[in-house]
Amino acid sequence: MTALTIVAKFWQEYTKNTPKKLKIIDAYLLYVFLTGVIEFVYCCLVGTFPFNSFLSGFISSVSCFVLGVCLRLQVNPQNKNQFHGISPERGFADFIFAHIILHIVVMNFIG
Amino acid sequence: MNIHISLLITTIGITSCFSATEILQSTNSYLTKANRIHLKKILEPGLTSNDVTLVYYAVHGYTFLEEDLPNKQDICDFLVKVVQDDNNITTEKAFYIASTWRTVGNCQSKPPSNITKVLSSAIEKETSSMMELYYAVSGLTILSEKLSRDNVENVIKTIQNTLRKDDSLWNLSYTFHIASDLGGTLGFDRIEDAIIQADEIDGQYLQFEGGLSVTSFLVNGIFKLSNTLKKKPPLTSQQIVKLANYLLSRRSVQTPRGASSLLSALTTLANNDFEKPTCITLANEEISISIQQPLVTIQVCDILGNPLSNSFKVIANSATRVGDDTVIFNKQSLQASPTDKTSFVMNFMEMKPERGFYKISVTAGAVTNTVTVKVLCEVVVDHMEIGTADADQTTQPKLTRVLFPEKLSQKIEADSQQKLVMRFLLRDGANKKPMRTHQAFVRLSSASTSKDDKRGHEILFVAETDTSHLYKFDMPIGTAAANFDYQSGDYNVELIIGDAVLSNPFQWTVATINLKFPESSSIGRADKNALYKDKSNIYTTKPEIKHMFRQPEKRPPAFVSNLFTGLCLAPILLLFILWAKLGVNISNFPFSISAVTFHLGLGSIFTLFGIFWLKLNMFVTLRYLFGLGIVTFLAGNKMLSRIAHKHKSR
Repeated sequence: MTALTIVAKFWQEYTKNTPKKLKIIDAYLLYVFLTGVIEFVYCCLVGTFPFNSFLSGFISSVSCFVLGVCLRLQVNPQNKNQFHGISPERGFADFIFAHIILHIVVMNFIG
Repeated sequence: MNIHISLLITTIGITSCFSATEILQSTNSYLTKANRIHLKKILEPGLTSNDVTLVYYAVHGYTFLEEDLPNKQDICDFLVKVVQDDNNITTEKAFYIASTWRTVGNCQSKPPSNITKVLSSAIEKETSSMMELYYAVSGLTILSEKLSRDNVENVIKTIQNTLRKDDSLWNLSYTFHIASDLGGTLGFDRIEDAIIQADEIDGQYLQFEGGLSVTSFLVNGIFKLSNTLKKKPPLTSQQIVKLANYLLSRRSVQTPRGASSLLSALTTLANNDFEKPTCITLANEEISISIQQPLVTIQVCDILGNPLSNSFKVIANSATRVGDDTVIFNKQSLQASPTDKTSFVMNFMEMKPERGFYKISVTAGAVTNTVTVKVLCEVVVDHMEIGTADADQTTQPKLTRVLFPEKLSQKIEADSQQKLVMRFLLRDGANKKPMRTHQAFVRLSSASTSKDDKRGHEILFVAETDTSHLYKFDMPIGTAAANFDYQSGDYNVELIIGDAVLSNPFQWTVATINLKFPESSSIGRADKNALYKDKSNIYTTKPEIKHMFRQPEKRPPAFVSNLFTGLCLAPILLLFILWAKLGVNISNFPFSISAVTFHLGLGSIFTLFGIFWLKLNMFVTLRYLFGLGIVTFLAGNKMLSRIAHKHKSR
């Protein structure tokens, strides 16, 4: 049993058992995560100037990631008993609302 | 010099502090000859003036100074001319003319009748002010015109009414003057009210608010009224002395009006029947007592400088040394000077006083005052030794004796490893005790004017004494080099001795010394020069101050920026690829109004954010966002609920 086989097994399980909706969200999460990583690498290599722009970009990606994870939790059918009475549509509406608030702050801060 | 002055100030301060607590019995000054000449000079132009007021001041001032008027006839002619020319003579002017007329004396016996008319009409008029009443009453009195009984009663009534409304100092003094002219007791009980209002300064002076003119006018009024009534005014002798002190402090007055009022008030005080202020002072403030000039001359006179009429003995009660309060004698009577009736003399050096300041308390008759005299002594140089020693004190200094006024014949050589050493002792010439002086300086000045630098260097050092009053002066040449700017060469060594109580302060060139300084390091030199340059530029314009903006930080090269912009955008591609792989489609898109509105609304909200970033401010953005938000919210709500419904029904 090598690490590789574990990863392969994990991947199989994932592709087989995860609903399509969650996969779409996971793709979104991956995209946001990668953007944040690239911004961080840029900051390490070049410097933080202009600092507020960097911060707003980075915080934007981190918050998007967090909001995405929240949406994923609410949409996941396995968590249905925990989020009783919250439909996936309601979760999506919250997600959109939170994004609007988040981005007005980010835009204000970007300078 | 500063020490001198500060010492004098301290002495004066101490004296005045003491005298403030003591009871003031006599003034410290009187109207001297010089003061009289000064006042006469101020009044003189008034005699030929075209202004009746100035003529009045001048004529009056001259009378008080007991000077003869040189141009009596001219003044009479002038007065007649004024009366004829001027059709509208005011009460004030009429009074000045009448008063001057009377004072000059030998004009025509009767003054022009219209003067009397002007003055009388002022009295009969109901609306006359206090000032006009005063001028009218006093003018008529001067002209020996009697007022009718009705008029007198009217005047008194007016005065009482006015005083009830406004009892200012001026009104009170008008009252005193008018009352004394009318001969009534009116206002005598108000004298106290007036005196209470006087301001005391330093416990020495008493003045009324408003200065010399009102003080003088009040003093005149009070004493005139008291004289008329033959009653002692409610003034203590202290207050009279303080008033006299104030008046005397204004001896340097510069206006004819001031000079005239000063003289009249001083004369009133000096000649009043009740209490005449006495002046006890030193005949000459400048004089100091020494063996050559052993006499203390005390002047006892009235405030005008005249000898006192009654006979009295002048006794010096005690003399106290300022500083240690040693009393050197008690009860010495002073001899009257045969030539001058106001001067009294004693030989102070007979008491063998030590040098210093002494306060002598002098009594003349019933009056006591304190004067301060200075006793000088002669300083003698006991011995003086000068030489050099090693700076690190390994060897005994080589010292040579120098006698007082002479200069050391050979030149002293000193280099930077050595120090200049001086030892000297000063003695009091009278009692041969070692003494220390306030000022003992060693001055080194360059003997030869150096070629490259025109400034002759001179530096002063302070010589210090040890406990046995032996003066010691050490100057390590190495460390002092900077003070001399490293200018080696010949310097004169001088000793400067000075003190407030020395009769023979001196400056004595003791020797010539050749100083060899080390070459200064070039850096030190440059610094020094820079300092000099700065000093010389102190008054030139400074460079203009310009605002500095913050330097923008260095930006990364364009390539790196663009690369990372691309990199940041890259994941979105990845997102689309992944979604495509997962088989995302919009086939399920519900083409209802709400769905379209919702997506358009959401899109426009994010566009609005973009515009906000680029252009708008927060308030405008929020206003738009509010509208868009409501629409989007309603549409989204509808759409999502329909989707949810579909799910359930499925």
